[in-house]
Amino acid sequence: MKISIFTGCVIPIKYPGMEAAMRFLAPRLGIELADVKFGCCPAPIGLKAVHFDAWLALAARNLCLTEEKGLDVVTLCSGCTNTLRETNHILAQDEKKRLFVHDLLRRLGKEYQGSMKIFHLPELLAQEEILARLKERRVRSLAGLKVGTHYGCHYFRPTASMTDGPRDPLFPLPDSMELILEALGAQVVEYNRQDLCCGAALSINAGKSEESLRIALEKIGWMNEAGLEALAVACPACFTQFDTGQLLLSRREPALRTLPVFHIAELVAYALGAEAETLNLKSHKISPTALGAAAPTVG
Amino acid sequence: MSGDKQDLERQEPSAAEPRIGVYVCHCGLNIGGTVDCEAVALHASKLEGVVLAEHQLYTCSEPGQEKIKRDIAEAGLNRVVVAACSPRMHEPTFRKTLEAAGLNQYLLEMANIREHCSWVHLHEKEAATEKAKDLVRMSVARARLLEPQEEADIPVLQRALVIGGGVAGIQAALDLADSGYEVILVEKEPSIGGRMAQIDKTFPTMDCSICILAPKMAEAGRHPRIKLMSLTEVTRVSGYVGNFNVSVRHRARYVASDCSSCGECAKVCPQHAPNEFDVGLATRSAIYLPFAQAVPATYLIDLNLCLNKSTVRVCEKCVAACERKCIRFDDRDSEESFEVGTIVVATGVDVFDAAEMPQYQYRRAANVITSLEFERMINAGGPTGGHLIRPSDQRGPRSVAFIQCVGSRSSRTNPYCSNVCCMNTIKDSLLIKEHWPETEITVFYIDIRAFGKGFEDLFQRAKQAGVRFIHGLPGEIIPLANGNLRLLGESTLLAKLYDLEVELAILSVGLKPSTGSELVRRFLTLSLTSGGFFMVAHPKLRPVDTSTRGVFLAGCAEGPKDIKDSVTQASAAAARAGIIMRSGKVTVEAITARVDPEACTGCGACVKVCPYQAIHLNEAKKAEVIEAACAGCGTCGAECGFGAITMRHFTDEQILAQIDAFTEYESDRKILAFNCNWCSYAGADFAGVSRMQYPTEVRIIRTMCSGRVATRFVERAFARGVAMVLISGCHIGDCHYIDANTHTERRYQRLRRLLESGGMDPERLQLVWVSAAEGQRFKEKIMAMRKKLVTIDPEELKRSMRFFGDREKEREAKARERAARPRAEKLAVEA
Amino acid sequence: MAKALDLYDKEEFYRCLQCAVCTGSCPSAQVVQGFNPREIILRYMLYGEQEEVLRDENLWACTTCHACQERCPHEITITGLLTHIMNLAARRGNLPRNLRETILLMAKTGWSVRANPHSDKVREQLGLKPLKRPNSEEIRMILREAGLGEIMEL
Repeated sequence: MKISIFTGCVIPIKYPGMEAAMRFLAPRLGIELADVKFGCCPAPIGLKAVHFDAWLALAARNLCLTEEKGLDVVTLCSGCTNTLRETNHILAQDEKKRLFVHDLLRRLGKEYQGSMKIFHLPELLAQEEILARLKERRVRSLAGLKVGTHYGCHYFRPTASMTDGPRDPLFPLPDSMELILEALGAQVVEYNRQDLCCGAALSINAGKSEESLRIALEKIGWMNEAGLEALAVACPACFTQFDTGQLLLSRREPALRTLPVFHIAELVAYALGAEAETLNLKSHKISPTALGAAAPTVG
Repeated sequence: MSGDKQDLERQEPSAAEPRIGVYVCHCGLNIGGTVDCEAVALHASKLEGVVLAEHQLYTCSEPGQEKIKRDIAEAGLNRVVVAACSPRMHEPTFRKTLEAAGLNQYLLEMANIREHCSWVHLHEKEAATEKAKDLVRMSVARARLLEPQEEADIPVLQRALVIGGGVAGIQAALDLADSGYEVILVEKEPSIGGRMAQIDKTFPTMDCSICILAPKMAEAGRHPRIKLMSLTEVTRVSGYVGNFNVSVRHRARYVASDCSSCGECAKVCPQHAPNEFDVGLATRSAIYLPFAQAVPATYLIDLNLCLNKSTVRVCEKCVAACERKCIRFDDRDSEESFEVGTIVVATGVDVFDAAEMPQYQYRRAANVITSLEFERMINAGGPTGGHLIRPSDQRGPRSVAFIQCVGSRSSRTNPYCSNVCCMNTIKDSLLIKEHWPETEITVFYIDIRAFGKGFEDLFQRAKQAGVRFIHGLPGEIIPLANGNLRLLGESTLLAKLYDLEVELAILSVGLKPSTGSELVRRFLTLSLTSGGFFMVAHPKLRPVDTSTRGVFLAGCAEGPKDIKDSVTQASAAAARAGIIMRSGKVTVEAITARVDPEACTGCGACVKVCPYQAIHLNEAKKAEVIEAACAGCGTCGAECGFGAITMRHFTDEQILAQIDAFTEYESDRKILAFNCNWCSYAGADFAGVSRMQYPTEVRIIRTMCSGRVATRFVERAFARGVAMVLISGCHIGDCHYIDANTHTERRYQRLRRLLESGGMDPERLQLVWVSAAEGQRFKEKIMAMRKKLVTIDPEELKRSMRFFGDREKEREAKARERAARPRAEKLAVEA
Repeated sequence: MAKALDLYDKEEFYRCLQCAVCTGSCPSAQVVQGFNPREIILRYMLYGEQEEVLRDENLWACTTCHACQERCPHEITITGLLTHIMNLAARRGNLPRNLRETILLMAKTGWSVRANPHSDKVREQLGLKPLKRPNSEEIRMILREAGLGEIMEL
């Protein structure tokens, strides 16, 4: 399959290793990636809260860019997923907004039709065919690694429109990452308040980094209580919050038991044979040695 | 005039010339302030057949009614038209006036010039007056054709059916039986008792629930006039008040009624499963008694759990243990039918499944339980012998939290308040304090509803006993490894967040209509409220009647309520049912269908559309009406293409005369609307009561049901040059005559297609479903139609006049031809 | 307010029972004293104290995580309301500085994150192609036409 890749702003600049991971795993799973000159999605916690219409129009422009190529799009960030999907939905439903956006886009010579699908990476990889290929082609197993997931609020709420999962009908959370991790041989562990927000936006928007870290600490506490050895995320903002977050927290509380955080793309690429250097795993603030414990090529 | 001649005229007024009296009511300023009543009366006086026309201040008053009576006697009136308020208001009043004057009550016609005219056209006095004149003209046209009718009396069986054996059903059954009627009490569970049998103590008295219920249960079980059918479900109800035909299915019990409930069988049964009565907190065997005080006290076998199947016998331990030899594996489900005169529906409630609120971790965290599970635990006869314990480690909790409104007051779950949960929690907290005073109890609430007698006192006692009430429900429950629960939320009164750890959390779950009620609803064509409970005929004045005559409601089937209110309602329902049965007969309104066997071709179209199966083809292949089953909706009459069916008091001729009357002038500026008596006419009345203003172009013709509106009426209207026609009725699913309005829809679609095929604008015909509360919707429809009306070009109107005029001529020619044909040929079915 | 935010302007807010489940579920309410979704609905919608609420800087603590909306018994679009309120607040000058700067950066470069030589080097080392710049002129045009000028100089 051919699909355009929406990296978002953060990954290419701040975490290029994750982009490298994506470009490593894609061809090995039969996915051809197309690059498009996307702009900032824009962030659902940034511009949307400041000027809704500007956010909507810019998001529609991004959607046009992939539609012009006739390609579906896959995102690496829960925030980008929400922006693109919600925009798609609003333009389909709300006449006034649609007319406003169409008017703007027409002046750029663009027209939005809403004909393509928007995938978030984990749900793309969890598709039956691709998952089967993953199981077949992986060269490393994550067996013995106790890993938990954190999806990122913007991906799975509101749960009424969530198409991923639910893992447990009594507690609606997606299960695409769990399926991937199990396919990689890892042991998936649940923890309390798994659906709680990471708190990144509190720092990014309001600049309240202290308070933001307290939310991250709450999450880490429950992860530790459940015995997690690693955390898989699907969003760079959540990643920063937990990775850099734990570094900052452990400076204040040296006794804090930290656990490495990975973007799901990194884990999949690693299992498909990517080396630590290829993935630039050394850029992680919390050392990813736990991964080495499971598959000892990471020192 | 001499007495004899007058009497003759009154006895057969249809033979004599109509002598119509028209009374135009001012209704104070309600009508008089907008409509020029004098002018309307003057207009009426010039109409054919009108011998007297006057206007009065308050026609419904004593003097007003007396005048009518006097005029009937002195002026020899044999028809009366009252132009005033809605007939839904005063038709019964004026009908009685006519009766008192010796005139048949069906010779009254009312023109609605208040709700449908003066109140909705407050600022258009001229147009309103013209409209009032039209409405009166229509009424006079109908009045000319009215005939005296006799109402039939049908006998009422002296037997009642009570569906549901909870405390409400039991009470209703006992009251009816004590009043001397036979009662059949049907209960789908193996024992009567319902929810009340499961509770421990009642509020506010703190009585032991089963202790006060069990004697009533026993009484119901042995009452000479009550036939108790447990493990039985209603499968079908047909018929009508006084004569309901009921079919039930008895599920196989596999144990004979001479069981002495010794219990030896259960002791040896190898199979076990969670038991329903204890809400899964304890087990029972495959052969079991639902609970100790069960009535009937007969064991039963759950064949799904039993090792034996209907054809295979592998285990006979119970048979061996049974001294009385009452185990019957060859028992089978059986059907039974019987007839009753009245029905009381007391199907009760189930509780909300708290798993629908994932943030409270029900079924994921062991120590989160529901209020019903708590009742079973705290009950001395329950699975823990009355000890409150944590499911995770069987220890008694030192701290307990109650969370209110779980599954109530929420558009996500149930929008209504479940009435009993606040008091139930207060009672529960007092029970805990009574036994384990050191327990810390916190109640998280949105409101505390302690509205009843003695309730406020109990609330105070709880606070006095140290129960803490915190306003602000937890956002979520976090289960801890030791089984404790952390509750996070905001205590709004203290403007502070809380993070409380407790050892046991109890979810105060809401009540929802019992699952069995859906079937019952369909058979009895009962309406539901938005919450899913059965709707009563009038929420204030007829709180236990349903709109189906002879069917009453009692207990939580009508809405969540406590024991006292359930019992009160049950006695009320029994009394109401008793009123019908006591007189031994009910009167059927004289609006039923009559078939002319000469004209009937036996095509059977009427049979297909009758919602009550009240019309059928007899041996002579002619349609025949079962008078007592006929509700008078008129759907058959509209369906009949051969003019063989007359709808009494709402005949084709009367309706066509009304159409002709108002199209005498300026039909091109008018909208004809057909409104059904129960919903859309009431909706238009409601618009009037609420003084909603809408355009004056519309003239409403009332039928009992929108199913009465035949395509030929609409065609006549268009043939007479009416600009637009509106058909309105009840919402699909809410039709007072079950599903008659589905035929309305079908005919509407056909007419639209006809308009289109004839090259006319189909938008000139509109359909709208309007409920009795949707005055706004009716108003909006009229406004939209008027917008369209002013754009209709005269050529279009001429076209349709020609088109439909031609069709009518064709139809009349065919009818004449048919009438002229020799008798034998008429029996052939037309293509 | 020519381009009204009418997506979030519904009657449902009057169903609010003040049950406090929203505040009880909110991650920011736990850590930011003075941020309380329930109170915002009370004051803004039910009491009509709109101007006071719009001046509150704590509004920006909302992470738009949707937990409140997810659990509200009456399915009130609380996150939607808060987004609407933050939009209105921005127009009254109540906008955190770093957010303003991030948006200005996006208007200038098309992205919300600043590229730097270090990251370019790392990309090269990892064998990734250099960053593809989006058409920031188009982006600026859209921002201008959409009305962002009401809030900041573009």
